[in-house]
Amino acid sequence: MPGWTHKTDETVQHMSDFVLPLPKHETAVAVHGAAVHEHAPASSLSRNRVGLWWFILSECFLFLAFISARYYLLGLERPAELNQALGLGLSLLLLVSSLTAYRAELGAQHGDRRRLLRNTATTILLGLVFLMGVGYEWSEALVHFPPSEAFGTVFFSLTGLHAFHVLSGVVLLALVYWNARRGRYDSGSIWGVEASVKYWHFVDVAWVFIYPTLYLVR
Amino acid sequence: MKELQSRLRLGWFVFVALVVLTVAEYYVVTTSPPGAITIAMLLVFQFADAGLIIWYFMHVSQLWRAHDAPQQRTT
Repeated sequence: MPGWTHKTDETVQHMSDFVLPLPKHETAVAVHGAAVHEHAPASSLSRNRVGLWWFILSECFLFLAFISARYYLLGLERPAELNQALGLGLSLLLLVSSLTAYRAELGAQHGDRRRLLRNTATTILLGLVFLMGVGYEWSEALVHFPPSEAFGTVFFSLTGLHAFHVLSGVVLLALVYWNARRGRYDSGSIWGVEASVKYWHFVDVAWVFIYPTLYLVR
Repeated sequence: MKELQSRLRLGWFVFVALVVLTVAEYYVVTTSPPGAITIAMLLVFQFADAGLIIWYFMHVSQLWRAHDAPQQRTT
């Protein structure tokens, strides 16, 4: 960009903070062009992370729209027929899966392929059990609050949206498992693991808000 | 190896805290009368849960401390 190099470091720092809140060392790389090649991998990783967080933030707005629809349509009402034990069980299941996902990422970071594989497989399994639990909950819910009613609409939309995210997470983790088995992460580049695990944790965070919204609030 | 062990332990601590918060959330709602205080407590539990996951499991601080969590293997 013409004139770019004539700007002071301070001005460039201010501009980049406004456009995209990159870490300070990134801005330094952008300003001092000579350092670009030297720091390229770290720079790319930071951009990946910022991009992923923007994506997660956009997903938050999607879930917020559905959660706010619940309160708009029903206020603080809650049907008594909800399976409370199942709701709590599903929450605990996702918390365990977050722990195993965390341990899988640690395994990748420390070059422990067995730990990575074992914990990724467990996380996938827990995700599938969660989906089966949601399926069972749906079969019960169809009897008590059909989708044509207000609570049914909210319940099936929110749990369906979330279940779809769980399914996407399971697919991503299955890819991680496949790649790990082939030694793809042995070279040290583990962005694929990190991104998939972060996405999985986001699915858990979404459920942290969905669970009380559907099962507990009254 | 020492670092790995301490991070594994941290994972367990966070997990136990999350389980305690979730069960406490359930207990409070099922035993307290409906009202503003119960809703406020629910919100506290939700945000505490989410905060723990975002801070310790999702490493949100990497966004402003990029050098802390390397993409490369540490051992």
